Amino acid sequence: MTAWSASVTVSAGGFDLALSIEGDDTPVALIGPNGSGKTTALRAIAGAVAVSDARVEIGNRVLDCTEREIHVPMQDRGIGYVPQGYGLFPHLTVMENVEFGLTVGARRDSATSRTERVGAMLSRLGCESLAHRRVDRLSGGEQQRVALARALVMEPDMLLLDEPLAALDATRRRAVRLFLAEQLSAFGRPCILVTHDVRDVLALGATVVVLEEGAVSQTGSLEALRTSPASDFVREFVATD
Amino acid sequence: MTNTRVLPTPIVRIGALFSVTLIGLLVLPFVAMVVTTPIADLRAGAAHPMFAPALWVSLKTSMTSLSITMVLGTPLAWWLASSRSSAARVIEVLVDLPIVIPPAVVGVALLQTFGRQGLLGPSLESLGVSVPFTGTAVVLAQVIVSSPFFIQACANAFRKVEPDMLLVARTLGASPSVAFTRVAIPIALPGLLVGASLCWARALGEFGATLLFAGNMPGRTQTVPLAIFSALEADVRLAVVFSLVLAAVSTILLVGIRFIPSLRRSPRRPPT
Repeated sequence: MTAWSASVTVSAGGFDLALSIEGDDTPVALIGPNGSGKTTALRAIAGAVAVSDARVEIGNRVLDCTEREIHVPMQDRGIGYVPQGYGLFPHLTVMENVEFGLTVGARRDSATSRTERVGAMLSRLGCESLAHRRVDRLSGGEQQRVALARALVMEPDMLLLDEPLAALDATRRRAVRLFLAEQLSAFGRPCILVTHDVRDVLALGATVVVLEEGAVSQTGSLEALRTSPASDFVREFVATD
Repeated sequence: MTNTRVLPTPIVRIGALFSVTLIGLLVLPFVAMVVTTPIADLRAGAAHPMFAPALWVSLKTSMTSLSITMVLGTPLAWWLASSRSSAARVIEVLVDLPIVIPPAVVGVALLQTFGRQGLLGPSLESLGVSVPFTGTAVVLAQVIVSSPFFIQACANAFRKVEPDMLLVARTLGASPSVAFTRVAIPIALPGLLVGASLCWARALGEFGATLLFAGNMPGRTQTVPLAIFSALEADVRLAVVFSLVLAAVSTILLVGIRFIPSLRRSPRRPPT
């Protein structure tokens, strides 16, 4: 069981975000209206956004602590990030995309070990047949698997997923949601997922954090949100089940 | 897409006639140059004492100016592509200025900057440096007239690099410089090569600013376009030969420019 906490304050271009959340290995679903700061929150935890105040801890590792002037750079945080649209590298094949993290930085691996790890990950995610394909020729669901494989092969301490199902059509979404739930269950480490869909929360058994206008307005299980929704947005969200 | 007949046939025919006329105007001068030049003239032109030094000065200065533009222009293009500030939009317009300003005006402006009576001339002279009518002047003139082509193409190419791709590369362990060289540069590469080709072609063909600011001294500042200008006064046939060489180089560049964007790396073959 890995306990984690993230308190970040961001002020940029007239937008203020003040977020304080914590959790364990249970996935956290970050929900909120458009423009409420969900993506900024993920990026702040990943270390990609300038923060005015931050304290981010995963397990016994302190990644950010403004008071103690600690700021671990993005490349050393051990946080996996899958953005909206997946951010796959279009000039590389599927295998090269998944392999990328093992060819750079402190976690660079030998060619033999790399091939083994990438092969095993592609196999685990059912992507072996795609290994030598160009990523721009993959379907949305395949791209999502490759992006997930690329993040998971690094064995991150935490996984951040920004609307992982948004680019898929309705029929694909159901299958990929179940697949994602299985993979995150197998991952067994902290995960924060941004979503607009209550079915994602249900499938993942996630704890919900509601972000509205740059601040957390409610936290709890889906049941708790149903029982006493803190805002019209929450009421609307739980009613779409 | 299916063909749809939006315009009436007579209009289409008139349009086709206009198009053919323009294509004829574009191509005919080059065809005339090729068909009216006997092979013997080509050989004589290539052996002329003016030819090799002018070609050497052209290649040396244009490659130098291209290198300078790439080193100085790539960071600027990256900033123009990634910044949303109004300052970036103002700088973008400033960078484009040399495209619309006539090269002769650029030559005069350079003289007013680096000439003896210019803004920086006296200070440079006190340091024992004189820029006008030297090889450096040729390079400077070329950098100014050609760099906008590189920066524009380069900025457009960098705009294709989604910030999320770099962000992901960083979370996967890449430092900022590794993310730039392993992700941004390869994605933008076709556009960067097009920009470099256009920039080099413009530098190679530069005439007006070079003539005014660097002069027309054989072996020192006389590039091929200036050699054509000098040869016209003495021997038209020689000017035609020099022109053919320059046109051939430019055509090769154009073919390269058209070909490069479709040059996408093929995926690695699966092991058999």
